[in-house]
Amino acid sequence: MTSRSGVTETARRYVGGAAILARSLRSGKGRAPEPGKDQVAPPVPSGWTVAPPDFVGVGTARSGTTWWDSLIHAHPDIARAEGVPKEVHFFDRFWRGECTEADVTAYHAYFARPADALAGEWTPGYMLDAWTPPLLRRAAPDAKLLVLLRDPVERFRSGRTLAENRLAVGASPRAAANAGFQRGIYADQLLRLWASFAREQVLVLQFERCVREPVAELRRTFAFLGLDPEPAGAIDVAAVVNESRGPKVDLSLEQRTTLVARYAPENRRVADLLGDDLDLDLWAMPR
Amino acid sequence: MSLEARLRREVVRGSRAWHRFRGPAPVGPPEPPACPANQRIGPPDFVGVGAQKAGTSWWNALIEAHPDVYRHGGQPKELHFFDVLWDRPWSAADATRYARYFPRPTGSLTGEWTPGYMIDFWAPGLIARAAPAARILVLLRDPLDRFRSGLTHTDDATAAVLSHRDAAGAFWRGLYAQQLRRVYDSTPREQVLVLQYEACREDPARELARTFAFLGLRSVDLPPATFAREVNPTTGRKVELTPGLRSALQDGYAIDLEQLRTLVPELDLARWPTAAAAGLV
Repeated sequence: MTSRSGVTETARRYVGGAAILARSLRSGKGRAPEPGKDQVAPPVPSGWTVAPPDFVGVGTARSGTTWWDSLIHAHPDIARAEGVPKEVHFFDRFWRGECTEADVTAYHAYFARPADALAGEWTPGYMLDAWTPPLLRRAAPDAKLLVLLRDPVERFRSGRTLAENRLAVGASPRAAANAGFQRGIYADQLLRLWASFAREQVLVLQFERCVREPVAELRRTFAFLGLDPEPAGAIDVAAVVNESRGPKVDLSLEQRTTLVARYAPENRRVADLLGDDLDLDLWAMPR
Repeated sequence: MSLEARLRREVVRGSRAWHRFRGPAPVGPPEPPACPANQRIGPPDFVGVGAQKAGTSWWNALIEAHPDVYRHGGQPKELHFFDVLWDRPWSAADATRYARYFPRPTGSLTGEWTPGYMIDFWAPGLIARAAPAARILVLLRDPLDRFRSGLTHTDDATAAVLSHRDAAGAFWRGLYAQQLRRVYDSTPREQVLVLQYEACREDPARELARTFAFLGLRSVDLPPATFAREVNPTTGRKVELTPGLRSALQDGYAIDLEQLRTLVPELDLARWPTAAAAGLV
């Protein structure tokens, strides 16, 4: 009797374990929580108030957004509550299911701030997902949007080294290469963004310029956010943040040549859209 | 050790044993066939490059119904030859090997149709090197219909596993302008035929006659029953689009279709509800 109930018990535990395993595999890395599984913001510090974000960074991965986000947060008038990540990834899951008023309120809960301070986040994938800009306009209609663009060939190489390899676990090299390539086609992403937000509400920065003249570009960023630009001069702009870990993967000459040729027409389209905000001489283009 | 960790370990062990038993998965297409006597090999006469879920299996079967089109027995419609050529260098031997997949009797044309080639940004350039004289076929379909066909599931369990990355991937597969820019950058325009699934459905005889003429085939009339044969129909269930997603996808595709209108003026965008909704016709 005892042994029989023991067997039943073991079987029950294995079935339960399989369910846990299935759930954990399903909600594994790179997979966003689905609507219904609420994303909950950390507690609001006492004396702070919650409001829609004042700024949201929306692009783009492997382009120095963690570095720039950390510089922005060195400004004395910008706050981020303990436990709030740089990347909230709030809208990833809303490709299906409705984004309700309760969801919008849940999003705002990430942006607690003391009186007179600004708060925001920076999820580099927002610009890529076609469904996100309209949702963001609904949840944060007055937010200033930030976009940091980098030479797509370098972005591709950096993504290969770390981010996309990790996110695309199980994906074939072909699928990973295609996903990485798509992220570097910026013109369509910008046009989709501008369909939901006025152009003057969006600041597009070029990573290579930020590297060359960090203080000037940081002042420009602060001014765009409606902040005093002066603190830019006192911030340690050279701090290295979120550098690619592990051995760097480089591209073969042939791969690089293919990428440069394939991105060239797309880069020209971005340059036409951005005018003086983008210097194509800083990006690899065919000779 | 927790139950979950133990289960995980067992699953990993089991799958490793399975892989040892099966050996490494073969990469790319199977070995090319031996060339039968009195046939010759050479680069394909035509290569279909896109688009996924746009009726390419149906259209390819109709092309092969022409008495002068030949496909070597047992060879798939989709060779996927270029799929693996991003991660390893291209050599002249690859071109020779590609040609070996295409034996044909004298007087016949032969080719393949892999709808993913148009997505693979490295493929159009390599196709132009391996088969510089090949005619390139592209079959397009309303991008929103293509999106829904591309994002199917078999039941609620597989539906739950679909992630936002699948949705994002299905979306950019329908961005045709950038894909065609890469095709046109690699192959002269007169060597590329862009067809519309909706036009093929409406008048298959007319569109097939166009296709045959483009391929340099003599005009033949196929029995009408041939056109109605279903080939590779979508069996999965389609994901329901919320009104919000539908309108976001429509606006996103409108940006692409505007470029497509300039890039391929011969397309009749009035056939696509997504283009009509965007006021592009």
